[in-house]
Amino acid sequence: MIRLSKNRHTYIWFLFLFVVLCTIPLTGCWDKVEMDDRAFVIGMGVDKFEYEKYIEENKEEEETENIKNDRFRVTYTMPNLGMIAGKAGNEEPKFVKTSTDTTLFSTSAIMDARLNKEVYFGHTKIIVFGEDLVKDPHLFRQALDAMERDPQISRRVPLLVAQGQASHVLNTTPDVEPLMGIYIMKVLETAERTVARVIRKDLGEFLEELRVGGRGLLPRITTGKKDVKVGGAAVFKDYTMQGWLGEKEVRSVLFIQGNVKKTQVPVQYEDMYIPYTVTEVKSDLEFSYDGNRLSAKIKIKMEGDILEYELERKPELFKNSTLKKLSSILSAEIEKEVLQTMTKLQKEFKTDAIGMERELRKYQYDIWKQVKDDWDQVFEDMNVSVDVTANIRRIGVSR
Amino acid sequence: MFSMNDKASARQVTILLILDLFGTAALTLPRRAAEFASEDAWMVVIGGVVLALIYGFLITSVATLFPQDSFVEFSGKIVTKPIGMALSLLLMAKLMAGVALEVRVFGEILKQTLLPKTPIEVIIISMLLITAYLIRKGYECRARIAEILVVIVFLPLIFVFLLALFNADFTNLLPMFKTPAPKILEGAYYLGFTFGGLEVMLLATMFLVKPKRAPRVTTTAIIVVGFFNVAVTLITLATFGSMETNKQIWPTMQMMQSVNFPGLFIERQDVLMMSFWILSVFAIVNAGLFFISFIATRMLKSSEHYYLVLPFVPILYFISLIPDNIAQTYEWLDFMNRYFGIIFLFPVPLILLMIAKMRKLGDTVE
Amino acid sequence: MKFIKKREKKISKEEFAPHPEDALHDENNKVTGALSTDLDENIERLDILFKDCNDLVKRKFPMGTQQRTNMYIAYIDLMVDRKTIEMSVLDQLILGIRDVPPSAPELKQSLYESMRDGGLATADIKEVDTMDEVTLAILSGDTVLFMDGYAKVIIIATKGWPNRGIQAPETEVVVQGPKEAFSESLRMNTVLIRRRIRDTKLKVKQLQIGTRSRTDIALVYMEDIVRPSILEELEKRLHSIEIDAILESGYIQQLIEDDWNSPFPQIQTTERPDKTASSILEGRIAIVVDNTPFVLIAPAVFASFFQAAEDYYQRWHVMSFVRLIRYVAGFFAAALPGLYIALTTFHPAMIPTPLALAMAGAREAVPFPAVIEVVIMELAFELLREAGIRLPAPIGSTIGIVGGLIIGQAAVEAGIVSPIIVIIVAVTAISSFAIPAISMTNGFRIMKYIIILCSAFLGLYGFWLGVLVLLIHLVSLKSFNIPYMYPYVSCNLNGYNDLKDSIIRVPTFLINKRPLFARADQRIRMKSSPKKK
Repeated sequence: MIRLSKNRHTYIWFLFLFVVLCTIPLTGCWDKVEMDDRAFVIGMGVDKFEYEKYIEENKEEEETENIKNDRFRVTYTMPNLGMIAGKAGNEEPKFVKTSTDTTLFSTSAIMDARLNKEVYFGHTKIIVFGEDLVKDPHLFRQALDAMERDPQISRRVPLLVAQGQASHVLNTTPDVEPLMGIYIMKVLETAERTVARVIRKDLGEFLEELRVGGRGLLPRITTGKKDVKVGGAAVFKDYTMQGWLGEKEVRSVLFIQGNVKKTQVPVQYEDMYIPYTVTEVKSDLEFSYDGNRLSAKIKIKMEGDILEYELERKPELFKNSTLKKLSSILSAEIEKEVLQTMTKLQKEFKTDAIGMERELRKYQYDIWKQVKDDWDQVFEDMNVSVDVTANIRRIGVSR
Repeated sequence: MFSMNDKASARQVTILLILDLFGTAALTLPRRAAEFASEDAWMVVIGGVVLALIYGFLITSVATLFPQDSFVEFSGKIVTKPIGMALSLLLMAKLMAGVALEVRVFGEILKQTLLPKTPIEVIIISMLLITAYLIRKGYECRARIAEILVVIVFLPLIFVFLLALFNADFTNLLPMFKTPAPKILEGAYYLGFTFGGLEVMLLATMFLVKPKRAPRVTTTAIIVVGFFNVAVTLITLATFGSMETNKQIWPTMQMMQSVNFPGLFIERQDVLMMSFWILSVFAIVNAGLFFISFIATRMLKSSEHYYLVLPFVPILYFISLIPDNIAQTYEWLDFMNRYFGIIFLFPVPLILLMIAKMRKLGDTVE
Repeated sequence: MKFIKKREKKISKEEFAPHPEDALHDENNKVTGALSTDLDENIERLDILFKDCNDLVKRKFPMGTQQRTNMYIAYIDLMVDRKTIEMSVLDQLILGIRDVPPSAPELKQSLYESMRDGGLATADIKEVDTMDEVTLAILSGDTVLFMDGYAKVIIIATKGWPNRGIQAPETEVVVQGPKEAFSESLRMNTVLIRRRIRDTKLKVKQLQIGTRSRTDIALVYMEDIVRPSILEELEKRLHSIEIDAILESGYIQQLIEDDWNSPFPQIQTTERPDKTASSILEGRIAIVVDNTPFVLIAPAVFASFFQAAEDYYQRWHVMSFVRLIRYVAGFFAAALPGLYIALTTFHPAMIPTPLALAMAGAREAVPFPAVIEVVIMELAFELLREAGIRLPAPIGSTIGIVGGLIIGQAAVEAGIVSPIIVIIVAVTAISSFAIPAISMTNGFRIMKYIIILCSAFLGLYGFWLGVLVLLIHLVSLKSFNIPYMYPYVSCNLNGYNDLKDSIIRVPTFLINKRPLFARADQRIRMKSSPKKK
């Protein structure tokens, strides 16, 4: 017979290996968790937990020792899987659970103990911070660090700051979409595309911003009875929230950053308001330093259309002179708004939350070297001039 | 005819070397480079490549003087047997430390991303055993698998990098040329060690069908891997900016995570990308273990070298478990690279080359 | 007491008695003994050999003008073409010879020679002088003719057993292309090949393997294109087979393969003559085995199993696409269930959220873990497949629909499995059918379970380790010294030529060299350049 048996040595070797290898799986597959044993956390809300306040508010609860030291209160939104799969039963589309503990991830451990499933953050779509949390620098930094370090939370999760408690936000059920997390995420996406009143910041971008001086911006979310609204922003300095920016101010910030895809700016023309639909924004920052004071010149160029006028009103839109006049009114109006926002940032918040230092460092390194040590002060004293050119290109399909 | 002689063609060895050099180092590379030079990190990487070319030249010059011998033999011929043996032992020790630490780093990365609860022992031992299975089949099988793996590893990586280009903001590379030159040189020196895999060329020349092709093989491999490293660094820097790159332990991985696949159905594709890294690490561990057992065989003058593979598996396993935590692992890696990394890349080949030329040893005929 | 009595094993003398026929056979089962000049002795020996063979037809008849010489004819009933015997042999010898005038010059020679040279009206006759050849001839369907007084026997070729004829191939169907398939007769098969290659250099070398079955094996190859070393190696392996019977080409395949331990075939089988002919022209060797329509082609590499005959008859765009699909199907057939397990139980973050939630919801009521589910469904599918082969045609298709759809649906509704599993298993099964060669499919079927096991253990990491083991195994295989994964490895061995016909198929006019199987100096196949547009 041809080569009837292989080397016996080989067989014994393989047999031994096989036996050894068989013992390993007997100890168990450690990471195997069935899909229906996972509790997918779609939205997470982090609030500050204060023991005394809690006792005050819930007078019927006894005072217990074990929650005295708790500092975080985390709310988890989880979908009702059975209902999504179409099975009858529990009508509630989602579950919202809260738990408290000293650190962020031990809170989720407590959650594990209370649920029949294992908490899983791989599909977390948004994270909302409560207002009181972001005003406490230590807690906020700890929360952020936990999210950065943990590999389960994706770096592309959008962050939001709630006006009030994050748990209120997550407890609201909007009519349109049962899952709060996905709803908010979609709201952010749509808003980013169509209206420039909100900034979309995900975890990675925010962390990048915070590297220097703890400065940055996060979008704000407010709750109504049955829905939520995303607009405006929270300004951060030294990892703490300093205050809010309104929606119009956020729009100005976006103009400065050149980050606008489409938005509406109503402008007052004689006795009426005309909306100017911006389709493209280009911005340019130029700094100059005279040894004493830094001057910044913000040049913004916009392209847009006018899509609403008054019926049969003269002068008609189809004339160049009208459009030019509207354009100059618009530019002045926007300049005013932008300047107002900058002043607010400089004087009231005293923070460069919009990343001007980075721009300076990138394009005009030498100036930056001179001023970098005391940037906050330099920013406050900075002389800002704004130059906006708002071009009107199209007016729709009628004259 | 083709496959009886356990030799590999130049192309195959090039591919093997490419896979060997491109490994977990590329995951931490942007961070290391940014530690030295912030926005000019890519220049540091290029410096490292240039240094690697020099090392490659030295190593292949001395190795091609003795086309049929491996380091064990020709070091003995050049500087007398005992010193040669000592050198070989040192090389073996260095390879062992390198492989053990590499596999430990790999295990740590895997635990962070793919398998959080699995004991790291299991991850390490399974990788080592599969590697041992391949090595028993011989050098030529290694070469063939490398040819297949290189496609599976690099094509998705290139694809991801191209997509990352869209997400990248190249203004993050500004300001340029602000780092003082000494810093760049220092960084280049350290980054040269990511090409530490070149040491195996001291041993591998005899596996080539045409050993005189070794210099070309090495140069091609270094340039290709160098190009990838520079590209990775550039894209990572552009995506994050230098400060963020500095903060991550494995910035490349995070960069892959931040890539936005338009319309593709896979979310968290960095998990998928990690799987291609598994194959790349497999190639490295494979090379290391093969040459370790190879040196051992040559030193013991035994003819069957594939039986010595299995004893090394438990040894490597235990060594890899010695560091207590990830920080210590990297500290040890840095320590080893700083003091021992250079030995077999520069001084030893240079000295051997000079002595050989002085004593007129070896094939000097081209 | 009777029942405690020790029982001695009584071996009856009968069982050990030497068989009367044993004396006539040597250790290789060949008949010993020469012929004798006495016709009656020959007849007696033949009777001993063919004792209890009632299908042997024999007749002793006188011949010659004076009717003094006896002749003896023998053949196996229905294995011969009786018309030939009756018209060309018996008619001539019994009747025709009466027309020869007594003074004819032929009669001056020996009667035997004149009969042999002038008495038989057929072209294919042979003269033998050993009993072994005589018996072999009878058993092959030829007719033997003894003559009294001469120790030589004439064998007349009269093979005519019942045969299925040339039918359409059942396993390799094409849309455009010939619809002839090999049948069970060796000669018909070689004829089909000969029709396609009308070259004198096409050699048909026959040997017999099997001590009892004496099966005819034909090696068909192009003498100047084939590599002599491969041919030599093949012949050496064939000659060292010592088995009692070769019933099908599969026996030979397993006996001469390089690595019989591997689930992957290293020799190709085909039913189609056009595929065989094109392989022969590439420098490969076809092994035609009698009694089976499956012809072996050696050497065969991994890529050969993914090539179908139709690839070359259609245009290259679509065919490249189809080839690519086949490779993807191969990957799915082995890896899809493992990938599913790895993703859902270890890394659900990779699945898009709505899908992940839907899958998790669907699995809520299912009692088994995902691994068990997958294994159950896979095994159920294997059962279905086996059962489906054996069912007669009218019931077969019904069961296919019933089994596949309804039972699957019912299982889902009963809550035994989740619907996603059914889809995964179905896709896996369909992918395995998309691979052109059944032998390769079987390899993937086995590897599928290994990969499932690895994925269940270590998730995506385990999946890749399983795939690595598979790759390592494939890469280390060789088929007659050619690397199995050629041309995906070592592709520069033939100047990158073979890559043109691997995953994609480049336009016909660009494939102008023969692949690696051919001899190095015979590589140019086509000299033309593409037509200028």
